[in-house]
Amino acid sequence: MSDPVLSDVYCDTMGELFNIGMGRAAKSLSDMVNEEVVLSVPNFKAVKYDEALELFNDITNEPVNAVEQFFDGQFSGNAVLFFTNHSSRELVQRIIGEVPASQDLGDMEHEALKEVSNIILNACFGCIAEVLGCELHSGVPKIVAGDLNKVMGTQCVNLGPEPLVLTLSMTFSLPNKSISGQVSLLMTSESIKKLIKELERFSSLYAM
Amino acid sequence: MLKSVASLERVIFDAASQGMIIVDARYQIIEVNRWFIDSIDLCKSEMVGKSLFKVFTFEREQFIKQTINQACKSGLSSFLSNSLHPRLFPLLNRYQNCSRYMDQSCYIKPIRFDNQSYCLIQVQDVSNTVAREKLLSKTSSTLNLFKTAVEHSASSIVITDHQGIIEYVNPKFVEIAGFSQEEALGRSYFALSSLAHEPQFQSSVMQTLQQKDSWHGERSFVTKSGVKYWVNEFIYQARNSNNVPSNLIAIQDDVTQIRDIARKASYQASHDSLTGLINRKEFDSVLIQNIEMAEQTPAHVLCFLDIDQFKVVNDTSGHGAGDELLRQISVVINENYPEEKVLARLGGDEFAILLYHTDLEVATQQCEHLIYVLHDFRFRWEEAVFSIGISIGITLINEQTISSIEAIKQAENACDAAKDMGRNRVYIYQEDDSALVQRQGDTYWATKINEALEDDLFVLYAQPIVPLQHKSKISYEILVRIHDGEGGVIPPGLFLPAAERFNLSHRIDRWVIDNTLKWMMNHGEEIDHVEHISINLSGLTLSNETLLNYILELVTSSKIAPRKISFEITETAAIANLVQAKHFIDTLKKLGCQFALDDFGSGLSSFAYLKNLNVDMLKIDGMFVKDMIDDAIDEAMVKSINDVGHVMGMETIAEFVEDDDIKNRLIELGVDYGQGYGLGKPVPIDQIVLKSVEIA
Amino acid sequence: MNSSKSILIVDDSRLTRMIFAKVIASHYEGWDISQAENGTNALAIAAEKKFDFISLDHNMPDFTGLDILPQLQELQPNAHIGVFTANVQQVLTERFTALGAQCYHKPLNEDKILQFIKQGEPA
Repeated sequence: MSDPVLSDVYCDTMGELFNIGMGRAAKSLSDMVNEEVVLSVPNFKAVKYDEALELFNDITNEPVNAVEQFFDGQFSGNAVLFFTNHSSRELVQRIIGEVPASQDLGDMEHEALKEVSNIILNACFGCIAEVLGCELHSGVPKIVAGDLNKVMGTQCVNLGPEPLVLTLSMTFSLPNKSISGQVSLLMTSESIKKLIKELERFSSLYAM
Repeated sequence: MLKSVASLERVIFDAASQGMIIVDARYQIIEVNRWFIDSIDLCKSEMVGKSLFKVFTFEREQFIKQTINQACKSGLSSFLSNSLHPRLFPLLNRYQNCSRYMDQSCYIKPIRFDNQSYCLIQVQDVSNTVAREKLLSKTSSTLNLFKTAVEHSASSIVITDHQGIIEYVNPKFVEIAGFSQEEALGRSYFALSSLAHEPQFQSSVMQTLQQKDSWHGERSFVTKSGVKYWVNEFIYQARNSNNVPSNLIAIQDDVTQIRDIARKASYQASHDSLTGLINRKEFDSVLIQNIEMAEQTPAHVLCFLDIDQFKVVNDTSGHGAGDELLRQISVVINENYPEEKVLARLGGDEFAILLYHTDLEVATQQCEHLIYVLHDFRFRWEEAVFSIGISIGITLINEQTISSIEAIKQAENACDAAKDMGRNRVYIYQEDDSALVQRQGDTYWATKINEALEDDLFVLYAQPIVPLQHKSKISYEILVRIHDGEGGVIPPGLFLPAAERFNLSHRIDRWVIDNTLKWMMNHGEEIDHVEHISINLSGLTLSNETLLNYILELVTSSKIAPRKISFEITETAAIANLVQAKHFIDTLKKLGCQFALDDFGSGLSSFAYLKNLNVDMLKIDGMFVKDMIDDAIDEAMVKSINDVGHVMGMETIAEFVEDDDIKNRLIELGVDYGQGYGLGKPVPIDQIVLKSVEIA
Repeated sequence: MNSSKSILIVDDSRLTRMIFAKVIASHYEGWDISQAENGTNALAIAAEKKFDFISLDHNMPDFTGLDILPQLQELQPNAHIGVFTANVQQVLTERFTALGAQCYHKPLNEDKILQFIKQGEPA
């Protein structure tokens, strides 16, 4: 890696913000399924797009189910949350309570996945906005399924020549099921600069 | 918020084909669109201006509030799925079946207007999607059910396209045919099976399928490794939704085993399990067939074969030996005759051969050759060695043959004649053959004997046995005759052979013993002058343990002195039942009775047997005696038998003493007793009490 | 102003430790502030020094806050321990209160931190 996209301190901050966001999402989910949701420590990275793809391909080369939400405000980009087919099925099964009938998810199963992903992403955005004290809105969630590279590719269409990716891997467990997903914020370098400005502003409040 | 008068925004708002509600940060309903109002049982005034949570009850109220907050306060959009919030609002589809509220999914979007934050709730009817999903799910599980059934079927199932190219094979097919899924897919189903018939088979199946949608047949199938097996096969033609033939479904059941079993059963039903030759039943049908066709074909010869001494082997060494003998003999017989024949084991030690397209002369030669071969044949079992002979009767099968039953009877009779004539020979059946006529008369005699037994037509005669060397008492041999109902009697020569053949001789014996002893009891004092009375026992009696016990009892319970009772058994009968004879003799001798060996010298055995039998007297075969004056050899025989007998401590009796010359010669030789027409004819038993017996 | 107290801040997030430290420093001069970024270090430090306050994170790389809480209580019987966690589920909160620790939900703010300190002060 040449120069880091984000400094260590800011990575730590972003990671913690996602952590808190995930904590809230976990609460909503646990209310929904009436079970405890156990979260892993999220692993936050800020990388260039190609590196991100490499990272993702290491995780899986199966087709994925992804939910994307456009976000806007002080900084903007596309948020993508994807699960492997296996994890999707596990999650859906736990949420809906029925085993998916076929290998691929049906429409209703996609809808359930969409809602869960939306809850997670909104919790993360909400937390970032709250703590950093900046405005952040999200668009409606859309679901995309298929080959990972294609999915990520379509997200980058309007993000300029060299988008950057803030990515967080998280695993959460429902009883007897381990579900892992990737949350990614794809942003233009422009947008990253704006984010950094916000982070600076926030840090200055607590500068020692 | 929207002007109530018709504006473009209002028009659009109310024209939307989904529901729209606008709610403010305090959950107050601000606006509701036409679609929503039309679908709900509330009117606009009941909703606008009221709190959302007062108008509607939600299962996850807290969650919905949080969602609305997120929208109004933070500008975050949300999605509420039907799975997690089923039928959120009480909406009905007016155009469809109105029994249930519609399945819905909702988008929550933040709206900013007049510096205020609001939230737009968009409601979509997803009932169709839900219904379709349910159907899909149901279809899927039904499909899985059938898939499982096919995967676990005990029949092989193959699915092809409409031209027979394989698209699927089930595990049973893989197992039986030996082709893996990968190997079978894409290949022609018809080509995979018996390669030789492939193109015809396919076209014939396709032809059938053109007329109706299924084909059924039994055919052979070849596995990957070249093993042939038989299948009972159904091929069905499946059609797609346009009713066009789209696939073929072939279902095979392996019937190889069943066919095998059927074949085995059929084989077992027609073959003798011991020798592997065909059995009587099967031979009968072959014979019938050939007799029916006899007019169109050249003649055949039917042979009936009987193993001599089979009984001896069986009795001496056991059934295992007998079985092995039969096996060995059947091989020898089979190899002796040409291929064009049918050889069968009829049962016991009897065999039959149908020699195709031959005549009596050739057949006789072949049979004599067999006898010749068997001359050197020795059967060995454990420590015993036996020589085996065979008696054969043959008859011609041609257009004059009446029936298979007749033919077999002829051959059998001829075989019996061969046996009577001394065995180990061939006898040819001829029409009007007197000997055979007599054979055929046997059944007549069997009936007669049974009658005589039941109606008590037997009568006892006695012939004197006269002492030759010293003046001592006379003994008598009991002979049996049948009253013929016209005052005459029937001599035993006529009925005794039949009695032997039909296993009736022991019953005659029993009658004789019963009545003789009864007579002896009744005339106790009147027979003081009699040395002893001799009763003949047949071979059948010797092997009858029950009869032995009966005799024991009878003798013991009668008041007759046992030494006055003597039994005669022929040398041949003794040899044929050696073990039993010994037992019989020993048992009765213990009682005090006497035993004579009858017809001695005429059998094939050696003096060695004699040593084992504890007899008191030896009756020299009349054959030697009657010609002894003229025939030096015969005289020599008489002399040697007499000498050996004496050495062994036995007394000798000569049979067939017809005149004085013979009598005198016998006296010279030292023979102890004589019996014959020259010394006394057989008379009714009552007459022997009279002291006046005619002695020449 | 209170006499000098000591506090151990246990959290894997540098941000959290920074905020916490900043708030303490600005309200309580002269307090001794120690930091640990994982459970192992926290226990090591707790074995050496006495603390009046310990703030504990739950989700950490090596051990969870729940894992090390009993040991910390043993090592530091007089310390007032507060759990500051992003995991806001009821079940977890109950587990901590059962062990005698007060639970605070992230994100941190000044009020929550001060409330924590006040709770730990003797009446």
